[in-house]
Amino acid sequence: MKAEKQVINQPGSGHWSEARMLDHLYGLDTPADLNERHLAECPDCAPRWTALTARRAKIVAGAYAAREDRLRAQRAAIFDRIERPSRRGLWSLVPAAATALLLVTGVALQTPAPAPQPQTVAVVSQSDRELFREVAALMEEDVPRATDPFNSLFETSNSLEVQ
Amino acid sequence: MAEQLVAAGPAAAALSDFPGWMASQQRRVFLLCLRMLGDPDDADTATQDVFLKAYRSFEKQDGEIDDLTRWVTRIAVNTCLDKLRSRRWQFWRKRPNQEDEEVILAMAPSTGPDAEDKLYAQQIGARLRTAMERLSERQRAVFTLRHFEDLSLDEIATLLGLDVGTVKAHLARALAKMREDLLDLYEARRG
Repeated sequence: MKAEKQVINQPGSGHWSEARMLDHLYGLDTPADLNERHLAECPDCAPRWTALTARRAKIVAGAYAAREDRLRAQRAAIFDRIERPSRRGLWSLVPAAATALLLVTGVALQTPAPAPQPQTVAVVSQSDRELFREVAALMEEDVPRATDPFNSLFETSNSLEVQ
Repeated sequence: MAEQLVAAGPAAAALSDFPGWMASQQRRVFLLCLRMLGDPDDADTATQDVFLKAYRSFEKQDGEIDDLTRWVTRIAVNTCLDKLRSRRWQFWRKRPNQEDEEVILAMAPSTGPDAEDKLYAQQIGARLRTAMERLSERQRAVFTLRHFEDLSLDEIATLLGLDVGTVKAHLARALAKMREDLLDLYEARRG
């Protein structure tokens, strides 16, 4: 048996090794490697290949069995999960409603922004400017403006004297 | 009944007879989940998730489904891949306890003609599960679909959204790891 195995696995023997058969079984060999005729005709390789494919076919054909009680319990659980959302009803909306409520509350609690300061500042500045102008004008004049009414009296008299 | 189901369109027909359709797919989907996840409880949960998603999709009439079997297989594989990825963070996970091991062993083929065959089948099953845990998620998915579901590489590529070359690469690495892990068992058997 060991001697046969050595011949079969010897490179160049033409026989298919175990590894090569497995590659072929799983579709991993390249087209250049294919020599299925040898598998069908070789007295050494053909029975090995037949045994390998038969074992494989047995697995695929469903030799494995799942216990029925386990499958039954799965089905019950699946139907329970399918029906579960309808029993919950409006409760499924609670998270969304809570989020919406938080957002609305946050917006409502925001106080309106205070009146913009620049307008008041502008009024003060304007009155300040006018004040400064008046003060400057007063300082430049030789005669105080407050004396204007008296000056007007004197100006009329002067014009009469000239004549 | 079958003709009526076909005429109504696959998804509509499945919705109208959801328990019947589910029963026809359940065993295969559960075993697929079990092989990918290696844990019966996780496979239970995953199977429930798969059929719940299928039901919701039928209700919403999400697009056309030509091949229901392939479609539900894709859902199952993606569900299992999500669970496998989330497991990476579950460092507290322990190996299945003895009761679970018995459940898993009950899934192994038990139709051997003699006790030795039965024992060998159980050993192979246990070692296979251990070896598959060493595979990456993608390698495990590809190996499961090829070995247990007997899908072609093209079908696997379509189902997983990969190109055939990538599927081949995953499968080659998976096989190499599996052979390395199972070599002693196989050679002991062959004597």
